Amino acid sequence: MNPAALRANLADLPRGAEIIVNTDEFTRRALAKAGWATSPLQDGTPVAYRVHPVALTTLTVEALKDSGLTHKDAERAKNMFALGLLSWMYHRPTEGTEKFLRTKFARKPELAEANVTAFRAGWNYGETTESFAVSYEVAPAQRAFTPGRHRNISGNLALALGLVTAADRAQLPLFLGSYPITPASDILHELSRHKNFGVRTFQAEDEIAGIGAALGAAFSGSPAVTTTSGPGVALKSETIGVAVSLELPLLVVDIQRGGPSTGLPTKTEPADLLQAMYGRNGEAPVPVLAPHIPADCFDAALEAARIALTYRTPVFLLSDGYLANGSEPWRIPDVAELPDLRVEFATTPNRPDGSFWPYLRDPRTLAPPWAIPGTPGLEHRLGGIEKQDGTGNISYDPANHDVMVRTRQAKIDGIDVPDLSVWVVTGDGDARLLVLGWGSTYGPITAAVREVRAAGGRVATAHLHHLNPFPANLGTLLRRYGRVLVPEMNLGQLALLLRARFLVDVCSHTQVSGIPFKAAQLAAVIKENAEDTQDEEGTEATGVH
Amino acid sequence: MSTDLTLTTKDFKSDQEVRWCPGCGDYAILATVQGFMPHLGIARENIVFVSGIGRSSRFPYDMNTYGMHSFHGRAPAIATGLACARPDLSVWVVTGDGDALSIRGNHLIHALRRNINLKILLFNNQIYGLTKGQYSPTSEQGKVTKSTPMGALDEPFRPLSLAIGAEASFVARTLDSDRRHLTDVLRQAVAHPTPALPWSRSTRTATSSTTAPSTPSRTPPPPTTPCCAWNTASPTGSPRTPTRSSTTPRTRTPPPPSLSPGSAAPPRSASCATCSALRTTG
Repeated sequence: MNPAALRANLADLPRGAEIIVNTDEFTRRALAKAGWATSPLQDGTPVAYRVHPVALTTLTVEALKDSGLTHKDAERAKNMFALGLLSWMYHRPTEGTEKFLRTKFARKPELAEANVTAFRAGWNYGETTESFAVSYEVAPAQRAFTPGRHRNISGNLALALGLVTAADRAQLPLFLGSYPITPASDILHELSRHKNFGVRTFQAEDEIAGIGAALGAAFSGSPAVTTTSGPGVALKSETIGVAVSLELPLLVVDIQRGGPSTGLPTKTEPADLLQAMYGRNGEAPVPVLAPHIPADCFDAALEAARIALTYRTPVFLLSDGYLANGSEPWRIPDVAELPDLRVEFATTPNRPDGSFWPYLRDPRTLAPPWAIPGTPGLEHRLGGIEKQDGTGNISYDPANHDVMVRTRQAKIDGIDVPDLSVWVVTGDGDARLLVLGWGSTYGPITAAVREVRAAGGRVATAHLHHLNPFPANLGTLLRRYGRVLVPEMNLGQLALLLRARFLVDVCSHTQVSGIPFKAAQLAAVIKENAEDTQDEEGTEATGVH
Repeated sequence: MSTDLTLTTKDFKSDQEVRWCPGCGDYAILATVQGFMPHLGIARENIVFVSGIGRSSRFPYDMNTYGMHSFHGRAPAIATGLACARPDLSVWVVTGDGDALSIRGNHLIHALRRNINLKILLFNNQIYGLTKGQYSPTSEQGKVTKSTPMGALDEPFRPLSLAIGAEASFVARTLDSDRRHLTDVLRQAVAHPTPALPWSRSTRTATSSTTAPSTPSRTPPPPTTPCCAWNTASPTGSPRTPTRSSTTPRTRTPPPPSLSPGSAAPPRSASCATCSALRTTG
């Protein structure tokens, strides 16, 4: 649409890509603003691409000359001209777009018609001009999706719906305490529309009050959530520690963005793993989960709720800007197939003498009872001061503190987490390289591995959803491979945890640029590692014989 | 199933050992609140006391109701979540001048403006007791403490002015040692159809004697409506729906001894081991 956009985005295009240029915008002034003395269309800068010069603005204004719009207003429809052209190139149906425009501008029919006219003009331009030798047709996806009813969904929307569904499956009213922050605010917006499902949202005066209110709601018997991004997590850390100490269920949703501090609010950066794991005073273990694709944010919300409710613990859910704002088709699940999350509140004393001990634990889960206000006979006090095992009374006893610290840790370590499965394809069964990722790197890793395999490389991949506790089979799995490559959009936080926990010298590949990995670049790294490991295999084999 | 509503003071005493310093005014407030609770006509299990951190904040441990001794300054936020999620509960916040006016100032003013169904009791002893004697946001100018050996430079907050400025609809001040007045303030706070903030403030009227002051508290609202009031150790004026004109003008001098119903706080003979040594006259 203009020289600045060409300059900013050229590097993202592979060689041979097609570029449609609005030549009307390539004026000397606009070129100078973009840092070009002469037009790259003339001097051949984009020579490696197939450039289609189109006088988009002129053509749009011409198409709308009978519309009654001013020249300036007519110009504004040029994006619809471009959309029409692309719709022709990709054989997209046009009815939906036209219907959308007529609905959007229902109150201003003259604008609706102008946009539709521009859209059709663009489509017709594609069909009649001979400058486009190639058009594309993308067949409907068949294999990639399981049968069922699908809708388009973003990560934040999926997460919000997952929270509502989790509360519904627990048959309890959801409570959200939150403070607006990019890129998490959409979850607050979405949940605030669902009073019909018993959802209560509270926009607090700050991050601390947001999670504080959620903690209060958790004490009162609600599945409670707070949503934020990295800087907000820093403010909430104290309260998360309190929730660890009180042992109340609480979901902390962190839509990670570039840091530290304000960092890059609109850019993605899954670099809060260590903050989620360790960002509290004292020994304060918290389970950590990370969805891998936008649609998975729904399932991750349910899984996080399961852990929080079952084990009475705060739980971190680490999404990021890429997942939050990315969208994809999502199969709408049948509610009956979703897990039952009902909990049993304590209703009767749990001691033979008729008294109630708030920290008398379930021997299997080590979870204390959840006795909510309004329950007669179970009046008790929770507190952030260390408490006596069982009774919950304040205790400064050294031996008791040691017991409580180890018990809280054992509760988290003992959380039931599914085993990690490895993705291999035929012929990769003997791969010596495992590429292990977490969170939103799933897309780039998968695309890169596909590329490497297509070129004959042998690679196994696995993707971690549970980061604390790790799946029980993770250590064994890591040791099975000659090399484990861990690509991360931080300086190697998962790699650090894996090395510390399993004494496996994983290879860390990192990029912290605020944008996702590019599949081609990642493929080069994976290919190199795959070849190295196959060479090592050859060396080992030689050595044996 | 629910608790018998013919409750007595004893029913509200927990089995926990009360651990304030000897002579602390908080004992008097605790006894008064425990004595008042049976008059609420609310079952014990439907009452929740939430506190933060500080001298005042052990209060929930001593009440045989539901309770949470949370963390520094955040009790109003926690109580807000509780009261929003469970409008059926009677939710009380117990706090102090450091907890409410210093570390948690933001939560306090927003809880007040929201008019949520809370009662906030603020025990104002004008000193940091738990951390052993630094000046607080209500300490008078010139006060010599461990952290202000040359005297405090800061202007103190007036809790009543602050609460009214935050649009609290019920604000009252009372005195820890005046059981009748304190009880009356609690009663009015509970009767108030919106959030109330009773402050129990022990303005150190007199001199070095002083006990740990009782800080104002927001009394939680009756089950359906919240109210707030401050109880302070020295009562001034009518606790009922104060208006701006009822506030004392801000001056550069320490606030005058309390006026109003009754006389100034009687000097106490017992003194708080933690605070009193530091409470030289401003």
